[in-house]
Amino acid sequence: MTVDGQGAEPGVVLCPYCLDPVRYDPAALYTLDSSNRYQKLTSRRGANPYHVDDELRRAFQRCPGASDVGEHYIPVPYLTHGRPLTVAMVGSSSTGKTHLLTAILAQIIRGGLDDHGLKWRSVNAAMHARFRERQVQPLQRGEVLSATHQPTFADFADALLISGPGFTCPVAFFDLDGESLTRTDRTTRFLAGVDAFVFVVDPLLALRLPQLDQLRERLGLRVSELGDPAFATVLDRIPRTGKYLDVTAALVVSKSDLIRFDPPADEWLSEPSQAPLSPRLVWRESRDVYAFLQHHGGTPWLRPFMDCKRCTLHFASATGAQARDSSFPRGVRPRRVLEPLLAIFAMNGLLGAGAADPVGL
Amino acid sequence: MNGSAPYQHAVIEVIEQEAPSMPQDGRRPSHQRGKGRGELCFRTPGGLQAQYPAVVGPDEHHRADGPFRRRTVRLAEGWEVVQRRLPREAATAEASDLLEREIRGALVVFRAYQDSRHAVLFPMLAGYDLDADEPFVLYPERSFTPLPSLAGSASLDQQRGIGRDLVLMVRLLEGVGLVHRGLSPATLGWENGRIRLLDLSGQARVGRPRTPFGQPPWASPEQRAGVGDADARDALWSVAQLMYYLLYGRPGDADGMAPEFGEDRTVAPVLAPAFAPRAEQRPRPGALLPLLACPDPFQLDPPLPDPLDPGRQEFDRQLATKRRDLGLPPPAMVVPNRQRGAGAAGGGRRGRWPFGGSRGRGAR
Repeated sequence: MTVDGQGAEPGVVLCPYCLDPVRYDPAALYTLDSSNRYQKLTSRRGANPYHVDDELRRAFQRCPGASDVGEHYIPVPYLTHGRPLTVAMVGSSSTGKTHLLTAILAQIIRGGLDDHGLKWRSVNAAMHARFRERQVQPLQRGEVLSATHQPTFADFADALLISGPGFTCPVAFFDLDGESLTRTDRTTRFLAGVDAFVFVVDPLLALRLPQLDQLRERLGLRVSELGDPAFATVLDRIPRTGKYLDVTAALVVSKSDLIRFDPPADEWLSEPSQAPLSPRLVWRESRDVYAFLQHHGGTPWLRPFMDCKRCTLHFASATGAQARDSSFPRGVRPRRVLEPLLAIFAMNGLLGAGAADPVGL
Repeated sequence: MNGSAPYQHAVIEVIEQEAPSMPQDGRRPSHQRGKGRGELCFRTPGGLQAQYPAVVGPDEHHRADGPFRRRTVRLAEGWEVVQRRLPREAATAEASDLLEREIRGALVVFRAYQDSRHAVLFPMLAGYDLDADEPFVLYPERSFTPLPSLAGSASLDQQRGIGRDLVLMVRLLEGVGLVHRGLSPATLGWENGRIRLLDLSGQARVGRPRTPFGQPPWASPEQRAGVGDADARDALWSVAQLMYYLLYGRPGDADGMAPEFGEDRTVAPVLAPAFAPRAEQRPRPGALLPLLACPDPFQLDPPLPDPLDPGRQEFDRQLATKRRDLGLPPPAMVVPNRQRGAGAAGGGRRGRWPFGGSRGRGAR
């Protein structure tokens, strides 16, 4: 994100953690040693340019910004590829944020962006490898992922460089645990600078459908008539200059396998992915999800749509089935997990049409 | 899903022990024992979980069932159901998708017609479990005369009744946005003067791209080729072929109408246009029904409005307000033109009451 979004000084981006402006500084670079400690990177005159390039891809820059956030480092490719896009998952604990984000990234790794004319590579290979090892691979093996830990510092879950015709854009994904999202301390200061949000609606918390009562009872959950408190905290944290928040959002009914036979979720879950993304289909799905949530949930669950300038609504299932004994014995079969991210890409100009793209409006 | 607790899955646990008699008074015995006995857990059409003592019959495998196996299961209350299940060794993603599609369609039919006079035409879903080790669907056991036993020997009344019921069935499915791609002598029965559809596994959504499906001569040319979008009139071709089969006792011409069909004076004058090579050249099922002395069910009794429609309209208003506030012109998107009852042909989304069968939106 550039400072103030428009008309900012070229080459300056907001630090995704402390929100201070940062410019790439070759003299402030660090690298992680084998003990995961940052070590100053010294420039080597006359070194093989391929080696230098490789070193820079692995390097971090120490952010000179706000000290109250603590010492923090930004991957160099995040600073050197133009305006980054930051995406944050929002929802209370156990709503399925981590599974959804993991399924989205797994779909990207499988080549899900290819048909949309986009290519990807990691912003930092070690960070991405860690995410694959800890999240993507266990989920592919049918394991239930453990809950996100409560951080003292909001770090990327993963970050990718997305390339399309004539552009490359760093895209960073934040996945904080539900409790942290409702905190209003500096840990969540980064929320004020996030470009796009994925608001995750848990059917068990949102929908008054009687067929969900047995599972709710087993899990000790109750329907929340007031919506998700994490939504409210996050929406209140985003700077507001007018009637609407100047961010893009996707409101996703997660765990939609629980409602896979309930119309209109049944139709959308069986809808194959289409490339290129059809604004008309996104609009139709948004319309159906809105009506479904309003009818079976209630208006508080729709607050992200009401508040955000551009917002799309989706049905998705990260796993395609419910877990049994901490695993998915027949494996996972994600449904429509990439569509919310594609809608966010469209709303942020990564799918070509830019501001003229009608997605979300 | 983070923190998900174990889910009670539907399995039949066969316990090889002594067997008390089946309860006849609706009570549930705490435990049943014996060969082929166990508990059957499943979801009812309303989505609730049920668990019954069950006595399981032997597996049958019909060629038309593909990877699925079928067996009779007697539940404690004395209900007999047919279980179509996907064995573990055949559980590919494609087979799972087929079963899921069948259940989805069966629920649509159940919600729309379970309490209607048309219920007799369809297999009414009894239960399902897609998360079981061996996913399955349950239908009540129904008696019927196999259609092939009438081939070449059906009376005039039977011919007229079967022709009427088949077109009515196509029309009723069209009314809930479905088309059955597998109408054939193997998937139809006859009982008490009415046709009975025996299998819902071949249904597809009207307006969705066709995939190659079905065998000649029963499946239409466009359906076999898998080109274009599914249309209710795909099934009218099958109806015309079935009527030829009933009249002459042999399968007809896979490429069109056999010349001798034109000589028939019972149903051929009405159904001959259904042999047109492309779906869009065939008459609509709703237009054929009056010619078969059967009123169009959706003209008699228009379906109930979709309870989600007010929410959709509210979405349109909110979006229009947002665009106006942001200085943008009104949304360019057009509300889909629903052809409720008139069928969802042309890609329209099906209209139906989403929950509970007693308020189904189909014709009563």
